[in-house]
Amino acid sequence: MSTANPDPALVSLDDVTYAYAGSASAALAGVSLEGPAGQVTAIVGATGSGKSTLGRLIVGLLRPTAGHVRVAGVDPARRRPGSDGARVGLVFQNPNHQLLARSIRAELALGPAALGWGADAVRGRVDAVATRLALAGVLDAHPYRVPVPVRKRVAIGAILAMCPDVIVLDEPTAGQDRADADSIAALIREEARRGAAVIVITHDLRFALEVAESGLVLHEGRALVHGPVRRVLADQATLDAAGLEAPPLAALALRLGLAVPAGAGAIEELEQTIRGRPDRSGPPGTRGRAGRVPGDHGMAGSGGAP
Amino acid sequence: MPALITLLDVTVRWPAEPGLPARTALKRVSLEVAAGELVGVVGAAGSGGATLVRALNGVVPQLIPAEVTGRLEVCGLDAVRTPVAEMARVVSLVTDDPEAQMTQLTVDAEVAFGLENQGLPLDEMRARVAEVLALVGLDALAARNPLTLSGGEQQRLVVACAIASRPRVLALDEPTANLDGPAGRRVLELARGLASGPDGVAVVIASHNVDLLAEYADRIVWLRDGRMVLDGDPSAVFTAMAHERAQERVNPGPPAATPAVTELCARLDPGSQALPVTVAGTVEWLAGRG
Repeated sequence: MSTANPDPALVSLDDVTYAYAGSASAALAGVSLEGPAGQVTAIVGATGSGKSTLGRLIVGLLRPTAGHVRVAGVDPARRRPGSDGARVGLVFQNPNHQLLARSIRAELALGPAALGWGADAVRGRVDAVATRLALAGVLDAHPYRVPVPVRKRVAIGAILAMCPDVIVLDEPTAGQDRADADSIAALIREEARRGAAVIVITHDLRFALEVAESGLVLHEGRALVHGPVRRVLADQATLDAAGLEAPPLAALALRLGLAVPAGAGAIEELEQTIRGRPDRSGPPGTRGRAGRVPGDHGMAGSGGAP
Repeated sequence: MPALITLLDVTVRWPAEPGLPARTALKRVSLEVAAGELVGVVGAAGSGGATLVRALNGVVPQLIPAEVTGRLEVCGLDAVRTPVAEMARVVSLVTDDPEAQMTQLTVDAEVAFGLENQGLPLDEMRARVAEVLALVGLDALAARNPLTLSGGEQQRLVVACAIASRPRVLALDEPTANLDGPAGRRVLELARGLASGPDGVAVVIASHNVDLLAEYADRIVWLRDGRMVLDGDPSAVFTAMAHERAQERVNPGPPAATPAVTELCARLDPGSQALPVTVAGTVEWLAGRG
């Protein structure tokens, strides 16, 4: 992605409202969001807060009842498949709704082949994605004969294989163990470095703190707050209002009145903070350093951090 | 308390199929779970937890073919050979693919399905459906088609179906994978209540959500590549796990998920054999260290 011509908002939602047919209340009401190229934005909120609806609007599966969605300046719901312009991909929450090929290899190759890439390029990309998502050993298996968490990684790989400009991932870490969740985080960071605008819909706040620069908190279809992920997810009042719970490490930091750590090295970061605390015998909840948010500069989870 | 679940030298071997080699998912695992106990089964992906849970009501090997050796007794029944329909009267299973479990057109009919199979009187069935839907917070969605629910709502629905029949054993595979923090906590609180309540349900939960298990489980069973590494109280097992991670001791197989607070404490005190596993426990532990 050229730095000479930075695209401040590859994804932009302006005052978007969406109501499902036959539903009395709007699933989303007046939500605005900017998802810049090269950045990861986390959409968090309780079950039923409108996260998945937002994802479907960004990729054009749904068209807003009111307001505007633009991807690279274009209404994604009016884009014809195969037309020029930004490529947009959605990883479904339930992989059963996405996968259709008879082998995992064919599933991963489907998108790149449809884009007209040569056989060598397709093969190369399939192998690269399979390696990063721990799928190399199951490439010839049927996608529905592997465990659900593996199937989920197939769904992620099938989208990432196309190198989309805009990537929406709905609950990418559901059912994943820690090691696989970490690999998925690293892969998402790589996609952002390549210049993709990445939107991660997740209930996993630990993961959001690890992978994202900015966060949007939804509550009953409305945006509560949108800002740097550490500031947003380290604010107890916001979490309470959204019906969310701080992940354990963040909850511990909040209880101790310390800065909430984030990124791949969050444990080490909190360890250093605790070791360096001037008054370790102080009562829990000491307010001395509350509110100080180091690294509030959009570099959380850059992957290269120790 | 008598054991409701007894595994003695249980080995489960998956046959080869196209693209997948044969694999031994459980290797000579022995385990007892008493009435009233909540046991968490943890380990890296592929370590055998999902297989163990599915074997408890006979789905493995009766509906999902596998080779099982050893003894697997649940509520006095041989789970390998007793027909699943009979096992299902005492053991409820929730898998990590909720949608695949759903067969009915409305949420309340979905919950009633298992009760109808048990021949429950209509009045009691209605009351039971309303009761469990309220317990999981889905009472307002009783008339919805299950397939139109969100991922999190579907997950709560299958939990409601599982507890509606008042099982003596509850077997759950990743019951919180699609749930936000408070919703996941409510599922664990529900399971804890069933275990600690008058019915003394034996609950076995396979999950990567170790932070919740650390708070609610009586015991943690740690599996690695199908073998049992440790079976003990959460502090003992997660302390061992955290030290292993901290020291990057190389063991075969990938590392298991460890509560983040335990990992943190293991870095602060590499010698301790009893580290805290919860946020509240860690606050106390840090205060005690001065």
